[in-house]
Amino acid sequence: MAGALDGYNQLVGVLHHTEYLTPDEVALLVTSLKALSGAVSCIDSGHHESLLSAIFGMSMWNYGPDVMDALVELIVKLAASSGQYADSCLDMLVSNFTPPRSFVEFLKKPRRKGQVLYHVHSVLQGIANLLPLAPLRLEDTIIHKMPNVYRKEPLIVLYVENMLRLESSAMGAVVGGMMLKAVVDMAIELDVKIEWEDILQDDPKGIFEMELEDEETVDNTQQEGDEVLICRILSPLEVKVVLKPSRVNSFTFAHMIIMAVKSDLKHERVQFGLELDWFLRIRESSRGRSFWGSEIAEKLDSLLVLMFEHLKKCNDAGRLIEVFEPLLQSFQTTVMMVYKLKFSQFIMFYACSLDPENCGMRFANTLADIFMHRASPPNRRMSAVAYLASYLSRAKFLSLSFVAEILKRLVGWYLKYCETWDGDINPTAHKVFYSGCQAIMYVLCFRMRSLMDIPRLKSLLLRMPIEAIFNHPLNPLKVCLPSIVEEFLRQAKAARLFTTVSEQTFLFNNNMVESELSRAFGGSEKLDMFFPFDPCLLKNSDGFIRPNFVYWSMARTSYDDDEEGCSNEDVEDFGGSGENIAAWSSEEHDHHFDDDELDYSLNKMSITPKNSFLNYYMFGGDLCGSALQCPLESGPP
Amino acid sequence: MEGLKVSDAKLVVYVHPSKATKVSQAILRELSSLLFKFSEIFDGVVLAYDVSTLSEVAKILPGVHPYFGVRLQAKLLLFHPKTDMLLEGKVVKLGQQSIHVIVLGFSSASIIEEDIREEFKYKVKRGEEVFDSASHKRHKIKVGTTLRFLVKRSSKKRKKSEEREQMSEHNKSIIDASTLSMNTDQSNKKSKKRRRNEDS
Repeated sequence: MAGALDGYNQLVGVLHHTEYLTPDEVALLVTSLKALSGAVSCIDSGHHESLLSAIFGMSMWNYGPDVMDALVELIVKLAASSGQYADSCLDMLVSNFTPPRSFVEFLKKPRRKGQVLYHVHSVLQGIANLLPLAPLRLEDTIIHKMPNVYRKEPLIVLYVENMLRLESSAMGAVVGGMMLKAVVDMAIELDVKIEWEDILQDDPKGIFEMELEDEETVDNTQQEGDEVLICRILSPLEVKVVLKPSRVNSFTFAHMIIMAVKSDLKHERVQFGLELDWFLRIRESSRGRSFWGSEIAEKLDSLLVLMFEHLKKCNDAGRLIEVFEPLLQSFQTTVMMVYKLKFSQFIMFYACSLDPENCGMRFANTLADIFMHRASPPNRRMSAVAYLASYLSRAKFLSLSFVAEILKRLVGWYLKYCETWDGDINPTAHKVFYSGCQAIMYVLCFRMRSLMDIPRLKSLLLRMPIEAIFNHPLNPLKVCLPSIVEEFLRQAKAARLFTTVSEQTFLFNNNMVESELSRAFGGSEKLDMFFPFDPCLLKNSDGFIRPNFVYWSMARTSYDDDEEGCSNEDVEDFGGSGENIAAWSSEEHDHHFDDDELDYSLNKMSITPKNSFLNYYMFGGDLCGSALQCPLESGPP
Repeated sequence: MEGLKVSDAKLVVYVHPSKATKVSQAILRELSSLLFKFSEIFDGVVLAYDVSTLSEVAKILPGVHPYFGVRLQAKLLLFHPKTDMLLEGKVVKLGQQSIHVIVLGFSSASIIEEDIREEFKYKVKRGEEVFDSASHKRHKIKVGTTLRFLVKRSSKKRKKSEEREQMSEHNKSIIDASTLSMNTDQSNKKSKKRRRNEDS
């Protein structure tokens, strides 16, 4: 009796042996596993508990291919022999998606990863062949075992890689949709944890102070002491940043600068007292110092890149439509309704860019349908139209005629609305209407010039009863964001779109980004300032988005003279890694400034010479253009 | 094939008020969630349903969410193999110690070595695994063969897991089988065998 138990214990002991296996021990392990495969029917869950737990505790990452093969065979036999082990087998396989304990050592053995994943996925397929209902169970297990967002980035990335691999596999037909939705959910979870530093207080005239770290002495001359960074943006916003030794997160800092600049860009007059040269030095020296905020951003970045690569692969394989469906559903149920998502919505953007005719148009039509659907709650409709406006403006791959079609649909809807409703300005009651009008204006700011250039679309645009809507007592021009209205009217005037509406009718004396009325219709969620497809600030993901993205600096406006339209080449030269430092040519610089209508004066721009501004790796080249011109990027959420 | 039966059932489905405009959709969805799961109430795995409403009037439940109960009449196709029933399935995997069979496309069965008749020997011919009969020369079992076998034991496993606000039941029905033997009909590639039972 004791002897039999000894043999059993020895067997269990062999299975537990993981590290530094000599070839003899490896052979012993392989033989034991093979023997067990043969005796699977004799294994009893009650009596042989320690054996079973040893088997299910094994991790393929610890072993070479021989052991992996033997283990795989054993697992399949176990799963098929009796239903009671099927769940444990699936659990064990999902645990094998990621290496055990400290994974750093496994990152040194990249080949091992390929072998393990190959084995794991082939076993999963094998089990699915034998137990047809296994994929359902597997779906549950995978979702439950997803790492939470606080785990280390490589672990999360590896797990998601496995999930996406499953989606492409034969089992994808069953589990694929769920996998994609789970990945999107995780992206959303990461996204909402990234914090914009609040740059502006609620009162747009406020001044705030931020504390940043002083890494090196700054040798640029400043007005007030060495430690002050002044980003003076002409009134009413004055941003004063005081430097003190404290923690800084370069990512956060980058955001701050972007936000500060964006918030007041409509003025086209930006003065940066302290140079971004300096900012660069902060960035480089704070490397290695990563804060919670930027760690999360990196994870989101990697996750998005994984998704983009997966979508590209699906497109190459011709199955993008299959993948698009669950993504679209997920978008409508979760993504759209999350308050001010920052970057996760770019998954949809990229998917659409891969297949503009089907997916791209489908997305826009879906958004338009949601907007026009009376029974939906107002916030949902407003969110939908904000997405639509941002999408139509920013998607380079959409054909202009399609954009015109959608605009026509929207305008038709507005006209009917105007005919139904009477009465005066009432931002809260008619918020859906106002957000819709703002949407049209936003899209036309980007696209008016291009639409006017094509005669057929020009006549379509001129025939649209836009004027009637703006002249209506509901008075959208007064309620929508002043910055947008101003830009729109300026372009409309240059394009001679209207006969009765003119810029002078509206007084914008305080140059505010938001007016009280616009805030009223935006509500507590600030849906009046929601432009979801503003440039993506995540470094690696941006590389995927950039070729299909319309930056404001690239958009030609109707008041530009032909030669001075901003050339796209420089902007597009910037690689996603941000390592290309494209010098911002001074000729281009001058073009913007010589344009009187834009009311610049070169003196007011104290932006230091080329390189510093553009070394802004986060933003690539857009900042240069947008710093000067874009009135339309949103302020901080 | 035994083990299949059609039952008549009177059901009540409680529908959430938000689905009041699309009641049939809600009912069908609710009934679809029963599919391929073992239900003790019906005593079997529900494979298919055919439903019609009994009454147009539904009773509203009092409570925070006023669900209303729609009464239905349904015909359900149920599958519940019991011991000593004859079932047919397709072979998906052959091994020296076992044959794995899938029944009705969702249920898996395994026949272990002891339960396979002695006349069949496991061989690997030209890379293909096959069970060859010693007594009848052309009688072979390969992957893709349809087998008829006798059920020895069936186990129903139920697991509850929560997923997105839905309670879903997962069922795995694994059948250990023993089989009856009869003369084979080579053209149909069917074989009936009898095997001795043993506990596995």
